Amino acid sequence: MRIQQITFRTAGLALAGMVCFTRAAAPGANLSGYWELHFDSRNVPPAALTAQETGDDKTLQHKTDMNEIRWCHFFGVPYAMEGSPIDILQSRNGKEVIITSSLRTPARHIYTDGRAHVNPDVFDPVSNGHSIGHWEGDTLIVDTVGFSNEGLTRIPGGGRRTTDSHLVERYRLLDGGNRLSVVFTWEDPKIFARPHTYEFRYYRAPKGTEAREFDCNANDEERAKFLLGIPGN
Amino acid sequence: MRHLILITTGLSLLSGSAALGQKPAGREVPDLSGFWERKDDVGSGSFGGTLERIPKAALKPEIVAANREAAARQARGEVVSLGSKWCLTNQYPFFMQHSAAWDIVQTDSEIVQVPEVHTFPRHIYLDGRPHPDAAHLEPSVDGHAIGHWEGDTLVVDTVGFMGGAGTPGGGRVGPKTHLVERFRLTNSGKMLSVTFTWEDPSIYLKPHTYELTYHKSDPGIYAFEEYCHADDPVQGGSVVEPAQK
Repeated sequence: MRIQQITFRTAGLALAGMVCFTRAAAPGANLSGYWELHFDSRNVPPAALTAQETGDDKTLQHKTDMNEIRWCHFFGVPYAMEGSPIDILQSRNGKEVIITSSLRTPARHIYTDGRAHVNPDVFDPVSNGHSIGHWEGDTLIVDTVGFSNEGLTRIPGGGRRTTDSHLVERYRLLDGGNRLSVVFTWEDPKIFARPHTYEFRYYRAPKGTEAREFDCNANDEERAKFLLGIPGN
Repeated sequence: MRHLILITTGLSLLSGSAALGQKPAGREVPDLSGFWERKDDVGSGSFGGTLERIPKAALKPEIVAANREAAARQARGEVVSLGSKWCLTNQYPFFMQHSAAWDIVQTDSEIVQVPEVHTFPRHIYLDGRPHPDAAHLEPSVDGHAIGHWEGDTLVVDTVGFMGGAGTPGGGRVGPKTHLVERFRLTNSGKMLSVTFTWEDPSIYLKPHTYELTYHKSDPGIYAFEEYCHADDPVQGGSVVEPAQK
């Protein structure tokens, strides 16, 4: 396991705002359960990208993404939130929220015990980043920094996650607990000309829904040819 | 394969169906939530050494012969598994005997174990559902796990493994294998005992039972992602494939 020296510009901002996180607030709602995305679950406007990001080679980004899939790498955030269903578990002691996805991605750990982000000088960036959460009334606010460049980095609406990205999510139950709104706001000075906000509204999955494992074999030559070759060949 | 899974599942359901489901009404159950890690409690000097005290599995003669053959191939310098070269997903129970910590998050209807090692989270359903019938049971890395509380002990029943994994004590996990685990807090909640009992008439002469203990990790610990790069020549070079004949 390597230790990288990294700098989060956005993490510094996030840490400055962590004073209010010094005590874990009691959960304002119970988000636990399986949640599905339906055809009408996404409200994703186009992102306002920086000139540099707009000019970047999209073919190269596509190749990078396909390579990540071909080699069975873990996808990370934000792709993890596009799994359907996702499973959210709020620990009984109120100290943590876990989000698992049926996609090939690590589970998200959201620490709700009042801790701050890990010192970026000692934190190894990961595809999910480092997430801490707190409750404002019935809304769970999740703040994430410490992303790596690994996995599927594209962000709904345009742009991509980088090691400088900062994500704030707001989780809130709707419709008597049958739906879940998650509002995502990305900030990254290299990528976005202004904060990029979009919303997913998940539907509560039917009782008895189960997690699935989509396993992956990087040694499958046919699969590799399909993913990296010319479509139709 | 699937018929035998049903047989073992049926036995477990017959014996425990009345107790299956959420915590008994009006009674609190222990909270297993938190990060747990193995330590060298026996002074063996290595994590591998901590497994040496686990009793050897009583295996069927053909499994013993297959294990001997694999050991002989390894001794000749042959590669018997390319899992690390290709970053294949580690199958259950690998992470339970690994040195990396794993995390439990517990609700009334489900427990999820989240390991750091390269594998999927393990979902244990506590809502009273049975295992899927044979036609709908998809073999998976972690199998299909359902749990119920017997007093302060969480009893977890698992079937539906993909097959191909090993257990401490020299056992194997096959598609027909049935696992029962008993999770219990000890030492005022600072430690967790897990007793594993593996059954499979195609592998074991008698049930293979052993106990592993875990220490609660320090508060403030956080999870890491074990990222494996099969496209990295260094990772790929960790195992050299033998010449193909």
